[in-house]
Amino acid sequence: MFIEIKTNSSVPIYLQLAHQLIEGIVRGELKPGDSLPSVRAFAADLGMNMHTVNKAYHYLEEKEFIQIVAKSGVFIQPNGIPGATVIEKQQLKEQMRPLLAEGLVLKLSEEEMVKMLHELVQDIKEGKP
Amino acid sequence: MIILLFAFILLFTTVLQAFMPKFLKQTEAFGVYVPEQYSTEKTVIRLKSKYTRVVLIAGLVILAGYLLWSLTQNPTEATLALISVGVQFSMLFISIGYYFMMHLRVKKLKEEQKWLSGKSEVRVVDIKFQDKLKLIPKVVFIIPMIVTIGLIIYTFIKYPEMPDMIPTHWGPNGQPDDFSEKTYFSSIAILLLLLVMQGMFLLMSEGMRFSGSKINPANKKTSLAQQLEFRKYTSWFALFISISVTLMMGYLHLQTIHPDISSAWVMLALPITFLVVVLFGVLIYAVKVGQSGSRIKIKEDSPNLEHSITAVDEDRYWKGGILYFNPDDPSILAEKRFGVGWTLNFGRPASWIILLLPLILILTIAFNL
Repeated sequence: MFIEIKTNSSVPIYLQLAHQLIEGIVRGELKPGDSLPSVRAFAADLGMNMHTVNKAYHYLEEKEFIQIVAKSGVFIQPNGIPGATVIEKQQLKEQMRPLLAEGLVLKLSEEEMVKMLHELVQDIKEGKP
Repeated sequence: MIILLFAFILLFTTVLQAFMPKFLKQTEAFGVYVPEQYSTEKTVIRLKSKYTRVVLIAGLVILAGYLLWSLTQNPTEATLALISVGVQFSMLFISIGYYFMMHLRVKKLKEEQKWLSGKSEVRVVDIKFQDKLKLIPKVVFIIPMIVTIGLIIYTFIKYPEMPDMIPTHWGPNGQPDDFSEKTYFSSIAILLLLLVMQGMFLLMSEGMRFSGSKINPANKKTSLAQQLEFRKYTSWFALFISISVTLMMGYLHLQTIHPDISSAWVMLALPITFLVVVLFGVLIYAVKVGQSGSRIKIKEDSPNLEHSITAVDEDRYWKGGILYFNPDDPSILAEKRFGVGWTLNFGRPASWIILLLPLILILTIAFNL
């Protein structure tokens, strides 16, 4: 699986990394128990500081999408990722709220935004950028 | 004989140096990153062929001058050796000097024509790169080192039978011309040198494991496959040289212990065979594999002709297009930009240790003889 990072994007690199790994999990390209590159190897491939990769891994570890096992490596959650809890659902909703508000201010209709959502889900599943 | 040998080496290095642009990636010209769509730009192509022409002509003129001088003037052996080495170095300086002129011209062209404006720079990583990488395992590189350690032990067992003077240098005719008094150190000095060299080949192969892959976003699958092949072949090449050096130096050493296995004919043929074998290996490596595997044909090509994306421009980390200095990148080894093979990331302290430690060890061994 290829990861593509835009270095002159406004999205921080660690987030781009984390988002693409999450999309890989969604598509099943990264399966439970699959190993991810070591921080060192990943940073070398990116030509970037190890700190950036560490940050992305910790971000994913906090969400319990991956497991960082000292001295053995980094793995996609071996038991699979459980469905969203009530709290997680609430958090996602909170994160979506300002985006929807921004859309409404820009006079997008509810239908248009629902259509956008469908398209995005499709893109993520097909791995389109 | 010596003259012919030097002339042959000079010819070989000249041709290799002159045709260097042919062995490199299309996206790098004279150490400058060239986005895919400009790699076939007329000016760039013209500069490359001009470089080839100038270096080739300069090399052939120097070669002719060298042959004329050495064959008509009948120089003494010392003068000949001095001039022969001097000639090789001047050729090296000429090609490097001309490289720099070209480097600056391409750099200027890139700025003037704004090759990167309006493009987004993309870094591509294959997260399974480590698993796909097929390098020769560490153990295989350690075997020749064990052989050397075995030879050291054998030498100590045979120590009383060894001659009082240990040869430490061999002349071009294959006969020893410099000796050291027998001590436990001088009796194994050549083996210690061998051990240092074997260690360097081991480090080289292992270093590739942790060297960042550079995948071209315009040609992901092809450049990934080429990278993997390049590393595999480098690893084989390092092993091949490691074994050749072991055989040559091991024989040199053994015949000091057992003079009866020595033969003038073998001593004469051995270094030349070694040289030819190594040069032949270099040639295959450059012509068949090419830098970053750029000469390996890969099927199943799906080039992305979108001109809005390019690879990340790393020119700022490449001083003069030759020295890689990037403290953020944890890679110790990096693929050279101008040349076939690898260089060190001088932004990492470990690189300096890898560069200086063998040098210090070799000098220490040499000066204690």
